[in-house]
Amino acid sequence: MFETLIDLRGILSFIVVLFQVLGLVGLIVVGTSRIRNINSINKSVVLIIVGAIEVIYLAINERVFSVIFHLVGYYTYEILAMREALYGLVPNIISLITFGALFLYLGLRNRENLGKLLMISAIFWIVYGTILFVPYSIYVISYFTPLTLQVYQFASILILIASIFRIISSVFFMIYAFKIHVKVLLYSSILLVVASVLFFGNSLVLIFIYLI
Amino acid sequence: MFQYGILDEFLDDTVRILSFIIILLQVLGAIGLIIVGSSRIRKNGTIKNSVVFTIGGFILAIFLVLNERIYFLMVRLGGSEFLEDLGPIFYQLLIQMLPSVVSLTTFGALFLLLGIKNKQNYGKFLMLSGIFWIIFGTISILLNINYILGYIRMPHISGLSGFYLEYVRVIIPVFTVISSVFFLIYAIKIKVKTLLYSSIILLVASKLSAVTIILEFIMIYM
Repeated sequence: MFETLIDLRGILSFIVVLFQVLGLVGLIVVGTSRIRNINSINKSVVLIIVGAIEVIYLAINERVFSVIFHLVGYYTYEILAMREALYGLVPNIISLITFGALFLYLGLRNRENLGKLLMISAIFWIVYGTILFVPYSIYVISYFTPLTLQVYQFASILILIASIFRIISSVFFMIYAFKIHVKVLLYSSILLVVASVLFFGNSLVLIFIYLI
Repeated sequence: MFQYGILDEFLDDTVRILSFIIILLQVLGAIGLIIVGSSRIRKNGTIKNSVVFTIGGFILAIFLVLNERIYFLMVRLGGSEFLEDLGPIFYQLLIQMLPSVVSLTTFGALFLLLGIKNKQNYGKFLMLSGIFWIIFGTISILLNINYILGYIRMPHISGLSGFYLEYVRVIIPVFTVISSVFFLIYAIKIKVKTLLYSSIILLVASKLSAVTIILEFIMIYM
């Protein structure tokens, strides 16, 4: 049972990345496309920046650790903590900047034309990212201080709560895409919603793992 | 003997770092291609069927994000038995051969198609770039198939299915460098800045890739 859940988590994480990267490439396409000639999105270059940063990080994050580990040559607690940070804290900070701060900026720029939906989406994402800081920090700290099972359970519950905010944020983004009638953006946002729902599923599995 | 150890380690570290930089450059190049393919440039009629650039960049970006993850997921699901029996074959297939297949499709076939479509406006540079990449991809795939077949027949001497073929493996990256130079010339000719930057990035990546393969060869056989 335990092994099955671990495998399920691996599969879900993979599918989340798959949907995420598809959605992100869609954002780059929208950011560069001719759509902006219709004046639908002001400062659409932000979409390219968001998509590019996230895609680059997704492509290199595991490889960064592999290079660092290879150069050091052996595992230490510091190295393992760094791996945890590279998989948890760092992407969280990056997504706070991209889907949080940059989307908030884009939302503010387009507030008059297209309402507050993108701003609300960004705010929910900022809440999601802020909550996630706690569990991801716990995982990093766990390499330096022994922690009880309750702490891990608490961390997994926080991840579950945060994932709900992520779904809400993605749904607002989808409504925004629907409202501005940009097909590629709509498809991208749907992919990002699916990724968020799968992330929620993944965090549910994590809770089961700690309960078992 | 001691000095050789240090050199060996240095080469190994250099290969790792270079491989990382190549991936980074390729992602940047792929994003550049997506931007060029979907941007307003096509409105000016400069590139016919420029959506091919988007498709190429799209495939490349997704592949770069996912290929190692697929392998590690398979290892995780398969466990130690998988690693012992099929691990080396899947490693060869997913980590070594699949990049050649992807580059054959994107930089090879798609660029050739785009080159043919734009032959009258901008000459044959993109076509030539595509052709050279197809040559590289085809030989690379054949080498990998040869390795896999060798492993299936004689697992205990895997990697020795053709020592002389290793020389071929060292030589073929020259085709990617030539291909990238043609792509760069094409980008200069059509005066699209983003495409020019992308082509420079991809040229640097292909040169580094050639250097990496030579270093790996030195590490194994010298």
